[in-house]
Amino acid sequence: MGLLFSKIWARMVSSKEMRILMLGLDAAGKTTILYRLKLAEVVTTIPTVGFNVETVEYKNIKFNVWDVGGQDKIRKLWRFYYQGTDGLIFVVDSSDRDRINDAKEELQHLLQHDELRDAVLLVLANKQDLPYAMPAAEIVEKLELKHLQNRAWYCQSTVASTGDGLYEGLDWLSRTLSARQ
Amino acid sequence: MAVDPVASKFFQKHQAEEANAKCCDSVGSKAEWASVSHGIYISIEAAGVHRSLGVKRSFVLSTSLDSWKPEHLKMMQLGGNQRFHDFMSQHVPKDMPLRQKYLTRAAEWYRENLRAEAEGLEPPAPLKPGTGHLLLENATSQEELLNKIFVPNANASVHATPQRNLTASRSLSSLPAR
Repeated sequence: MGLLFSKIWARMVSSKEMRILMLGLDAAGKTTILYRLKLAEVVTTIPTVGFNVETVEYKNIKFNVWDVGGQDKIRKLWRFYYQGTDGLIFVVDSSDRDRINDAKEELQHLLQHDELRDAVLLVLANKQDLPYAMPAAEIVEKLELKHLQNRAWYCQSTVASTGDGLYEGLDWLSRTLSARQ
Repeated sequence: MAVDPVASKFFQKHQAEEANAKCCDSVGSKAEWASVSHGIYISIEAAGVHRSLGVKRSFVLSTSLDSWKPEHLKMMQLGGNQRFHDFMSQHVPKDMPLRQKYLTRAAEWYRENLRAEAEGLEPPAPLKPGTGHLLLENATSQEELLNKIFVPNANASVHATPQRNLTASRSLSSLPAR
């Protein structure tokens, strides 16, 4: 009985771990988001040549967040990070109208990979503070998210430098991933 | 990694010019990145500052890690570090902090003019004398925040600033541990 109780207790208090892969075109704001979540402050970043990884604890869940560089030629290496991914965060620069189609193609392409079949998708429509930024509804449309099949997805507007919207995004991830277990 | 043969040939030749071989912002060492909007070669440290300006003001590409479109190469060909330097030194004080320099009317005029040249469009109306150093009016309070965070001085190396600086990106050769 005592053993059973301690098992239940351990399950209640111990935090779950989730593997999160954060991708998106170069200069979308992935690294700024990662360190905003980790340190709750804005940091100066330089382009990521390679990757950053940090563990962020939120609402009793440990998110292991992998932030991989977005330069065109680094995108070909994204696939090495797919395996075991619970949640995919796809970051979009909402002010970059010229490349929103490139973003759509990269996203649609990576969602076809078998290793990401079960991953839930959180799209962050970032840089909402910039003039003429596309609102989240427009990002949903341009990325053709409504055409996705068998995929739990959500689009959240964010401003990484102030942190606006980031925790709403994590809330959705934790709710959606917890419901699956 | 596949190399873009047209781009790499172009950069090899263009960066043989002395001014293009080093960072236009005098930050960091190697000029392996570019602000396409200004047609200049910059270091990875300066690239961080340029990216904080937003893609409308400074579109940043790597000379080796990105694919280049012909229109972007044309911006580089028409621009170059020397031309930008010559223009800015006429309008903007030398000691102006790096990030602010790109928020001036002179920098805005320069990138609009370069784009017009590259696309064969009408050039912008000439810059009024004595106004080049003024900051853009649409700079928001968010900009002030970023100005404080990003390198305050063009002459100081990014690494020498007390702000936290993230250079800890890991090498591509090590794949994620499972």
